[in-house]
Amino acid sequence: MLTVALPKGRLGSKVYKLLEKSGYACPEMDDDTRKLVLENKDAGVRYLLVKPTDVPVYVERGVADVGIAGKDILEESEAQVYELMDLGFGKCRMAVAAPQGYVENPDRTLRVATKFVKIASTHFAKKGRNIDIINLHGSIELAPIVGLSDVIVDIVESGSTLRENNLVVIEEFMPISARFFANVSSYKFNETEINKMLQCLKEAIDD
Amino acid sequence: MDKILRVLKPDEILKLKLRSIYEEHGYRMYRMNCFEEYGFYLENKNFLLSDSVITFTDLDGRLLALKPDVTLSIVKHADGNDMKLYYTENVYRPDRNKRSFKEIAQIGLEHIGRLDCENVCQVVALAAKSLKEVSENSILEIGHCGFVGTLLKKYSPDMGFAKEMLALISQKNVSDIKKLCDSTFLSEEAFNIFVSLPSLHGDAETVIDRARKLCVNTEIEASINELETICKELNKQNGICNVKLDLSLIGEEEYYNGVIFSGYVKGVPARVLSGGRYDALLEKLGKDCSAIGFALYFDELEQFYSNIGGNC
Repeated sequence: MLTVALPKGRLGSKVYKLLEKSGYACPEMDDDTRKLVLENKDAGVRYLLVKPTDVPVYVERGVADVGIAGKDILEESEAQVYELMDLGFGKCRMAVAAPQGYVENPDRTLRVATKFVKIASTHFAKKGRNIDIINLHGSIELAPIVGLSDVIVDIVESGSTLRENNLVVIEEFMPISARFFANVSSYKFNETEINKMLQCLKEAIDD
Repeated sequence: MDKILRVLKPDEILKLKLRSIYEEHGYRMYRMNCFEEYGFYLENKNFLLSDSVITFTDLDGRLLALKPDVTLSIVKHADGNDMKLYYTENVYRPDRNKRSFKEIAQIGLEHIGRLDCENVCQVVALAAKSLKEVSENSILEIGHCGFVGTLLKKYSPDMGFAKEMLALISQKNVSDIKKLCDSTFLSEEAFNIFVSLPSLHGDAETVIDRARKLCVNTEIEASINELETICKELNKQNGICNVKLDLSLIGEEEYYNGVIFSGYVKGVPARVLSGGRYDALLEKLGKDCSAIGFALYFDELEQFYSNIGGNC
């Protein structure tokens, strides 16, 4: 039996549809359930429905054997897992954005608002730029508008949220897509099952 | 005696069992000082997993540290003579979230001296025996630093590439290995080798057959031959856990340079044992001999024992 940590939301539903096609269906999933654990003994699979940012935690700590999350979330969590496949969808970019017409003042600490504290810190540390991180949990775009920060670091998909708030991308630095990953120890003991699921996913994606 | 046995917790029993196995094979208990001069760790901080060490000033003004590692202290006392030691000690390292220090109980074993192949095999076999004592459902994975190391030396265009590649190999991240290779000019040969590395693991015979095809120079050949000898030797042993090869294994501790190995127990999410050959550390400390050893982490095993419930 494989336990899969599935992120609630769009990405999770998309991955579940692929798994459903490959024989890992779980009938309960369709009845708009509020259950958090869904199991199909015959297919040998159990799903845990968790908040996307928690997926790496469930996998690293071994209560789920495998999980699916965006590269952004995986990178931010610094979880030590086997990153077995790039699913190739859920694509977006990590970007630095600022209000239109913004000119950086290099002799001052840069104020950066973001959900991705570790990713942003690493990015600016590489450039040797001194920053003040402002950790927010949503509506990041608001920060530079009201003067809370100079720039933001966030994921950008179509860029429409940025445009509507008069922000522009000044730098893109990390391509993001959905990743399938496994707990290190689990992979040693359940390699056949995990590889089989991986193969099924690959075929379903290529279809 | 029975009364005493009933009181003992499973991890205490395990410790005693392992001690008796190690003594049986000629290893002697080594008792350490609690504190070490801080300067000693500072000089050798490349060999530590983390830069963070708990320090304090002793009554005579010297800056001391609570040991973050046992191997370093043991090696310091090496005098070129054969030393076969084991220890049960606590070390102090930052916890997973790097917010505070934690105490980690370890049992470990080291063989320092002029090592021959038989000595190396014995230490690896003892690691496999230790895992078997923990659980029937355990795996020892053996690799060789010389394998990935030599390939990187030969094929990577620069240090940055090598560092990134090492990280991706240890994540078995084939998709990003491909992307990294595509981002720089690499021969098709190098591309194919790097992409195949994450899957170079499994049963000894299969892996060695596949690895032989990647023998691009004598160093790699030597590392594969060494692994083959060890696996053959382990085949003859009784009472050891499941043994596999994983050539994508990379020594996390910088002091490893030859054979390395990691142990896993079903039900524990992280590795519970790690070990390997560390001649480079002795060389750095100016000692003319070689060494191999391993440690079993009791903090990781705690979860295993709480899963199977109280006393066994």
